[in-house]
Amino acid sequence: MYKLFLTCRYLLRKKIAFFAILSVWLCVAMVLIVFSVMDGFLENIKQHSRGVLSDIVLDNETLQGFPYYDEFRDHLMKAMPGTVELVTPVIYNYGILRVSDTNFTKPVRVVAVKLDDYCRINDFYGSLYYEKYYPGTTSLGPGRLPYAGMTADEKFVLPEDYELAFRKYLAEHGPDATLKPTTSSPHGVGRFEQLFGEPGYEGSELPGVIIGTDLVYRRKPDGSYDRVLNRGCEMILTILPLTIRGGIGEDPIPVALRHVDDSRTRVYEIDSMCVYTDFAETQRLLSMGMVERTDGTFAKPRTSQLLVRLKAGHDENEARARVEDEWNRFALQLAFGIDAKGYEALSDQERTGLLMHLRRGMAEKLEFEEAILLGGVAVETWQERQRHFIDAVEKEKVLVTLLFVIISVVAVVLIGVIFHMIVLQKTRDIGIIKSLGATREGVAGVFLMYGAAVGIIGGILGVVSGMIFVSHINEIQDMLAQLNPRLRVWSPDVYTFDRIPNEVDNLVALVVFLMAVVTSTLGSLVPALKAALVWPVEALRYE
Amino acid sequence: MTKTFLQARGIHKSYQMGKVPLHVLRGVDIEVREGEILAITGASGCGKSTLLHILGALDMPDKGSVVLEGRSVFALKAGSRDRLRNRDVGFVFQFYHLLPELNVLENVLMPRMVGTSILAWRSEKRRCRAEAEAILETVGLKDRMWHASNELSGGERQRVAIARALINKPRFLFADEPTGNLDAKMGMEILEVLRGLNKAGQTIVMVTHDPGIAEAADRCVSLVDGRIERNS
Repeated sequence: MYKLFLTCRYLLRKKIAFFAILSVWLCVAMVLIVFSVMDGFLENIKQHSRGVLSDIVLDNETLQGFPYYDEFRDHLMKAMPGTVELVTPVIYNYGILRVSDTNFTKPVRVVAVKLDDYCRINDFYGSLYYEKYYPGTTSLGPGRLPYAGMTADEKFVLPEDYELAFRKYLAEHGPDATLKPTTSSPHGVGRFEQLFGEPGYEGSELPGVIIGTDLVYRRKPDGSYDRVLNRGCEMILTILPLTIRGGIGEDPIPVALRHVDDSRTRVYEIDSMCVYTDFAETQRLLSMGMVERTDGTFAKPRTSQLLVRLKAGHDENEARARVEDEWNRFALQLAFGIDAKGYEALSDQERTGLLMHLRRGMAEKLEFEEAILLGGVAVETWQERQRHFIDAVEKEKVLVTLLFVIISVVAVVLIGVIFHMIVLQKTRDIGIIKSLGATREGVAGVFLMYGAAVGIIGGILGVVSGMIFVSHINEIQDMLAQLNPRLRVWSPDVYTFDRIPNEVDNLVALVVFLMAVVTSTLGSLVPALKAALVWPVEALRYE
Repeated sequence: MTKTFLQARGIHKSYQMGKVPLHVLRGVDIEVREGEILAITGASGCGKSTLLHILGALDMPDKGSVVLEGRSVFALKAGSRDRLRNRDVGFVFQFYHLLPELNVLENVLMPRMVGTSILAWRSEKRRCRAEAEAILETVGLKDRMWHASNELSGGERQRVAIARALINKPRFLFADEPTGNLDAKMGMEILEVLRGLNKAGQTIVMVTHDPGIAEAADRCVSLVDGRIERNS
């Protein structure tokens, strides 16, 4: 009985116990906050990497891309019908974006996609801004500038297809309190030309372009963007076509495009760099389509990447190995005319040797340049594709964890020292209790319970305060930034994501809590054992 | 003839003072009889308190044995010796040694708490508290039982220490200079309390260097240079 009684009394009456609880509290909160932010950061990277790629990526890491992608898509769909759901090509290139009638110019990464397939293959659709409110109106095909009209009772009206789309949004989502009609924005989203009279379209038909949100707009402290561009405004994208060998083939080509939507993947690196254009149009402009050669033959169209989406429930790594095997089979048939039987008959060494030949451009049935581009294609899962980034964060996480292990060791030592002080301070009490008949186990138990109680109380306080802090970490940062902009520690251009990860894994919280309890109990173990082993009179004599 | 309760034979005890051993007890033989007040006297540093601590199982002799009703105290396992301290021995110290975080009642109840499990305490709490209040009434402190120990005078603290020593109705009450830290009036008050307890049958062994206090004992042994000099 006395163990529990004395533990409670020491906890309530000893100031030093509050310092021990405080140190455990702060350590637990600190570890939980840092671990949650780092873990959230890593998870964000993984999720968003997956969100802008696909399960499997084929890429040869050149701007010229690789040919025969359509043929391989058909081959793959036939070879793995139960595994592969969708295959779509993507072209990557670079250009200069200029907003017409302004002096705004910026270097951009051009991502040419087949929009419908691209939206099905990853989470790109969810990143679109106007498409959310006007479903079905975002297209990379030719389009004109929509403008709003005004009714007799001075209400803005959009062209019919936009009004229908917005009604569809309202029917699906209900009235949105955040959408406030303004003079410049009929439904609180986008900016349209305002004209009195009927709504309609104007200007010439131009191919569409979707721009990364951070490319043009500046993010406001409340997280929203001031969308200064009208949806439908003209932009000029200047691109540089390359020959199949990678040389500059023609003069830079300026292309007039119409801004149809903003994309916010929440990966700053992407949102501040990328513009999305139509695949076929871009392929043509970059001379990556079916181009007539000087000898009158036609070069095969090329793509930079092939994205493969798997059907649900398939393991990415297993599927990647199969896709790679199919690619090798396909490439060797193209290059050397090796059919399925011949491929099966080849040893691994022979296959590797032939692929090496292909990589060097030595293929009987292909042009030298085509062979090199095909030979350079690598098949990777999205995780392998982003491994340089994921690995870096994983390593950073290990490093931070290691630092916190050291800090935790310091905390253990600190708690050990505090308990040593407590035991020293209570040495005479230990003598008294022992003279009253307390056993060694009993005296050790008092201090172990004391340590465990400090761990439990400090741990609970640390977990609760850490969770509250993490869940409000962005608001706290915004508040600090309002006091002084220099206090904004999470800069989206440094950390890729615009918001600090703010979720705590309950399992991590439980582990940190248990570690706090074990650590505190261990911290009190040595002094408790020391206290238990002395004879009563030795403790009573202690000054 | 009165029964011998406690017998100590050939007790030796030395302390290490740097590199030099200091022999405090050099073969002490002593016995305590049922119902008596035994005073151990001697000059400061002669080993009186050390002997008392050894008799009360608070310290271990280098050599020799202490036998309590046929049980050799230092041959007992640690747990049994702890139980003996809790049930058979009550100790009163010169400097009271009350637990500062506890009030008077809690201090008195502490030996009972030490000997009782949490489950048993739930059923015995009321009875224990009644007994503690009765003892506090005996020592004249019932009205101060909610006070913190540091709110009491020296004499009151010593009476709390006596009440604490008696709560488990021990066979022996060991008192180490029970009046040594008090003025003459307070000292006499404590002596009266001890006499009253002895009249009720309590065996008391006390250490004192005050001849006046020693005179109140039934028997007196004098320690000189770690040996019994006089046994009267």
